[in-house]
Amino acid sequence: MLEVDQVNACYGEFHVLKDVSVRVSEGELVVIFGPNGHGKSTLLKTICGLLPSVSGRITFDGQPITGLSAEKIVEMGLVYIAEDRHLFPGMTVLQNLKLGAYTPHARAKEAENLEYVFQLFPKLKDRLNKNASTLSGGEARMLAIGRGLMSQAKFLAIDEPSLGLSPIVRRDVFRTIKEINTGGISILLVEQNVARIAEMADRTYLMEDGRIVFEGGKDEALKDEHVREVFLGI
Amino acid sequence: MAAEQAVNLVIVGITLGAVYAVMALGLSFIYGITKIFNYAHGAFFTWGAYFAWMLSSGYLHLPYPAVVVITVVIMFFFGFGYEKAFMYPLRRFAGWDITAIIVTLGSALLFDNLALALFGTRAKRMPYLVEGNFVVGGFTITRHEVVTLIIGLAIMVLLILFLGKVRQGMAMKGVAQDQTGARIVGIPINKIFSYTFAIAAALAGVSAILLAPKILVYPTVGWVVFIKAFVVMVFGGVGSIKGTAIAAFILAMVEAFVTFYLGGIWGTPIFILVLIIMLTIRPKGLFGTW
Amino acid sequence: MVVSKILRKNAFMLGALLVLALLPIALRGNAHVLNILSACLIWGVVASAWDLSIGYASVWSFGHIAFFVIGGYTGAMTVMYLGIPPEAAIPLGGVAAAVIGILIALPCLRLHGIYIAMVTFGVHLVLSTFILRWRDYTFGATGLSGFERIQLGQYVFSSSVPFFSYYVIFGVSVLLLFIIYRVINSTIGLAFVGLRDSEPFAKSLGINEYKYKLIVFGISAFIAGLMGALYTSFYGTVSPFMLEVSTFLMVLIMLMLGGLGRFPGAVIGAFVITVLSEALRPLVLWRFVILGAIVITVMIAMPQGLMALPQTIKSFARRVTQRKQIKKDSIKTSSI
Repeated sequence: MLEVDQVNACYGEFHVLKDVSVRVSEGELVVIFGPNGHGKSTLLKTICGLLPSVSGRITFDGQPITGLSAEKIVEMGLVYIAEDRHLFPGMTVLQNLKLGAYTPHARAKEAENLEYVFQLFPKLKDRLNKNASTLSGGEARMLAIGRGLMSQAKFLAIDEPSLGLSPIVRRDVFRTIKEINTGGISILLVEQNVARIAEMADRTYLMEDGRIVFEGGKDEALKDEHVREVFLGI
Repeated sequence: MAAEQAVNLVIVGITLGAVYAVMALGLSFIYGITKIFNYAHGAFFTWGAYFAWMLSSGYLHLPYPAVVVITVVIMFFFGFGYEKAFMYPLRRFAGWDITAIIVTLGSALLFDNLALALFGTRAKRMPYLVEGNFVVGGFTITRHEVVTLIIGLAIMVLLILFLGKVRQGMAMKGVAQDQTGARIVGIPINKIFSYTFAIAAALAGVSAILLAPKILVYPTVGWVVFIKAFVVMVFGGVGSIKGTAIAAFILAMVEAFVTFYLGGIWGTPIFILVLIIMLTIRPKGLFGTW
Repeated sequence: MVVSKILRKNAFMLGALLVLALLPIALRGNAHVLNILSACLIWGVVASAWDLSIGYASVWSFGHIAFFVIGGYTGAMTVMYLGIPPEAAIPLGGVAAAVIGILIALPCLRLHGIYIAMVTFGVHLVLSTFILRWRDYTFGATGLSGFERIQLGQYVFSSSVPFFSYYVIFGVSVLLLFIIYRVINSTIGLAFVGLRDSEPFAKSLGINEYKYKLIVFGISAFIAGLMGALYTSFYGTVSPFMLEVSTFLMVLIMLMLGGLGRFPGAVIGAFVITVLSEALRPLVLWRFVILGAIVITVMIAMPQGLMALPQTIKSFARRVTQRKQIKKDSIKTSSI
């Protein structure tokens, strides 16, 4: 469904992504993990058109999307969910969700998607008329994901969903992400820590210093020596 | 007689307030949404006034409703083109916010002097929107003032509805609050920027049509209105229509009284004084949201 | 050894000084060109002083042309009404500008960017109103003229005595530019560069930002005012005409074109714009239209200003070659 082929990207004069190739098939939940500041976020932003790439090809649904603007990519159903959320702080939860359905494609399905978001996050329904700036960390994370779903997403690119959350909330968020995936939406997720998330992933990548250094199936990551060494300290 | 004078001053203040509010909303729109401070906004006002003048008493002598509509449409495209030609190309570089300051200043130089080169220094006189007076219980109000107030209030109501209910308006608010967030949900930032400048220029055009008949039109007429609009924007808080309206009415009223009792030259100084006081006490303004 | 090191380090500036010192001899007799050069120097100093405020202290003052005019009026009026000798009146212009500048700055310095800009620009707009109002002393729109000038033996400091006057302006300009240079390289100046590059770090060193800003702003207003008085004495006239928005924009554009906080960029910007403006003079009213268009075009093409040009080209070239290299490498690997 998503194919990233030999992509390079620079941040100013820093060469951040080095020949990165990643693919996600329909219905898969794929996790890229790796230490902070090694290009994971840059990769997601490059895929979603928020940052330009220097070379390489990205295709989504069989169509090339390299160099397309962010709004065109969202329109195709590939939606980015930011690590620092980027909600609209001065708007209510409902308004945030409604703006999620901005593209014409999403607008047509607005009521349906809103229903789905409430079903996933009943808590948001209670906060509907609260300003987004007043939400707790967990609620804000839910809203960010919910807003992404409002964009009629076929594919979610989720950046560090567990950042700054307590272990309990983190588990809830991961469970919901799995649920969304089971519902038929493909997911590419970026995490710093492999421990919990690797169990639910279909496949995993390890990214170090801008390169993919490991690629594995369902449980292979946890068995790989290098990965264990780096992330589990075993 | 003192009572009548006071009422007259209040009326002058209210209509002036409507004009300042419209101008300040445009400035506040651009600053809040695009984070560009448009130093050429006074030139927008000036050109709005000259377009209206050309269409009315200058050359074409069109009926007034047509003058209003055509001026607003011209200014809308003027703002749109300005953003596309001068602001959009800057955004390829990091640190474009500083460059934007110089380019808006350079544009002010260009537009001011274009007006000077084309129309000369001689001030132009604009006719009132509608001639004549209303007489209500001994008080005389010019029809122009009544129309000014109606148009000003109508614009504020329309803008509140636009930002609160219309999808494009909400998208503009979204861009103002979090630009990256807006890109994530698929809001086309570049288009929003262009339309923001377009709307703001149209608003400057409206305020020019409303104010120009009461002052004369000359190449740098926009600067004084611009700085007053800026004070109104700061006083009311960037992004708050309600705050801008209240600030505009308060400041215009103060101006009307100060001008009457102390003389015309104190009009602008009083704005600067209010600005300094406001910024020291409450820099976010009365109702700042963005 | 030390001397040669200093020479090498400042070769560009010293070379420029030498050219400026010798040029009049080469141009001997050409009054027109000499006066243009004098104007270049005057605006170069004003723009550099202004840059001290905006580019180094990050105080977005839009009041420096107002300070310039205040200096001009002070210089002329103290000579006319108080009988102060013209040599003394010129620094007095600077003092008046500094005092008024600091009075405005006291409540405003804590404010951010455009707020200071608009307060100070408001002062600029208001100034002409007051000059027109107090016509008994200022002669309103006609302005002041016919006041006593500086005299040294048979020479009078005036635009009609260009050779002598050029060297007076040259001397004053070099002195003031040297002061500006010293301020930039003083502890205060370096602290500001620190603040610009890393605010938290500089703050942790205990830099008293407010006090430093006030000092630098005062110096910068003083120099602007002094140059205003010098300018007034040179041309023998001062009027509210100098407060035209176009003048204000032109000088601001000089320093921005030269590059903010890149001494002596503002001087170069002043030379470029003054000469350009002089060259476009035959266009009469269209001159500023064309200038505005040039400024916009240049900024769109070269956003960092003239002083950053070599740097911009270098970093651009580096980036292009780096990107080409990346592309080449990835083609190679993919063909394997």
